[in-house]
Amino acid sequence: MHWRRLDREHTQAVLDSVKSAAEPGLFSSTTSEVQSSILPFYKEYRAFKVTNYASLPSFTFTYLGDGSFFHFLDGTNEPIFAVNDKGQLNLTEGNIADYLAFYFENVGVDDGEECYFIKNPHDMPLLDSLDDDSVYAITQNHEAPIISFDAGQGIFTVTAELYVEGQVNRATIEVKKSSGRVTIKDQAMIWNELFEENQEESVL
Amino acid sequence: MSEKDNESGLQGAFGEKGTKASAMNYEHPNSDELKKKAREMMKPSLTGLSLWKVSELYNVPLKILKGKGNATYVAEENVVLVYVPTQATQVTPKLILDLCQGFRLAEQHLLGFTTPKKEDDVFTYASIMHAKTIDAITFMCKTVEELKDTDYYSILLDEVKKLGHGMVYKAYVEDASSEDMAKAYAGRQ
Repeated sequence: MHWRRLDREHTQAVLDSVKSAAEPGLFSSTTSEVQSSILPFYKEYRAFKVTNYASLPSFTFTYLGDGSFFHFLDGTNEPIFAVNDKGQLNLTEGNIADYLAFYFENVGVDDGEECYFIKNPHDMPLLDSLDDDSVYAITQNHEAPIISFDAGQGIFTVTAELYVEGQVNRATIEVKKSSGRVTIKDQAMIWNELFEENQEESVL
Repeated sequence: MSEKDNESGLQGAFGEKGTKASAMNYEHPNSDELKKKAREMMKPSLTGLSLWKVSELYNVPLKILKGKGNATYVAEENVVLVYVPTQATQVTPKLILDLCQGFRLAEQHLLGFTTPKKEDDVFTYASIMHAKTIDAITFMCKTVEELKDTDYYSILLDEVKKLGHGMVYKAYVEDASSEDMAKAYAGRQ
C-alpha cells in the first residue's frame, strides 16, 4: 500500500470524525498524523491511518472511509463487510490478492490471531522481526498466489501462503465476488518458526 | 474517486449511514472482565503484581481497546493502552505480555525516565528509546519467568518467542549483563 500524508486541514477533519467521546485525548492534531491510501478493490472508499506520535511507542488506528464516513478496523470482518455491502466492492482477478492481503492484515483468523496473506514475502510487515534463517526459509519457499474465477458461481479461488502465528501455511481460499466474504477451504503447514527454533536448540 | 473529490468529501456532515464522532467506540466490550482476569493471572508474579499496584497507586488508567497493536503509554494523557481482538472473551497471552510492557513504560515515566525530546539528536533519541524498550521487555521476561509454576507459563513463553523476544528472554534467565541483554535485543530487531 502506498500511503500519502494528508495536509493539516484534512488531518483535522479526519481527526474530528474519528474522535471518541469516551477517549477524547487519543488523537490531537499537534501530535497525530493522518495518511490515506487508495485501495484498488474499492470504488470510493480508501484506507486511513491515524498515528499518534505522543505515546511510547506510537500507536496507529486504521479506518475505511470515503472522506465523510469512517469505519474503525477493529480486528473483525464487520467494518470491511459493511463497506462491501454499500456496493463499494469491485473485485477482479487483478486485485483479489490485494483484497486478501488487506483482509487478513486487518481481520486475522479465528479468534483474532494475526495472519498475513503472502503476496510478496518482502512486503510482509513481520519480516523485520524474524531472524535471517526464517527470512531465508520464507522467501526461498515462496510461490506466487494462483488465482482462478468461476463466473457461474461468482467465486474466486486463490491458492496462496498465509503466515499465521509463526508458521506458514499453504491455503485454498474462496472469495465471493459480489460480497467479498472470505472462506478458508483448507490449509496445510509448510514451515514453522517455533519448530525451527526448537530444532536448533536441541542441536545445541 | 479523485483526490479533489476525497478532500471535499472530508468536509461532509454525518448522516444515517456513517459513524458519528461521539459514537466511535474503541473500548473492548469485555474490558472490565479481561482486566480482572489478567490481574489474577499476573498475581503469582511479584513483578507482575507490583506493576499493577504501582499503576493503581499512582492512578494510571488502563484502557483495553479493541483491535490489534502493541501496548503503549500516552504520557500526555497518563494512560496505558493495550489492544485485544474484538471477539476475544478470554485473556490472551499477548495481553499479559502487553500489560507488563505498558505498565512498565508508565512506571518509567513516574520514575523520571521520560520519553526523549523531539529536539534531541537522532542518536540520543534512538538510544533512549531502545533503553526504555529493553527495560520494558526485561520486566515482561521477569514476570513470565516468575509465572513458571503456573499452567499457562508455556503459552506465555511461546508468545514471548512469537513476539521476537526469545533471545532476550534467554539472556534474562541466564542472568546476562546489560551489554549482552542489549546484544540479544539487537539480534531480533
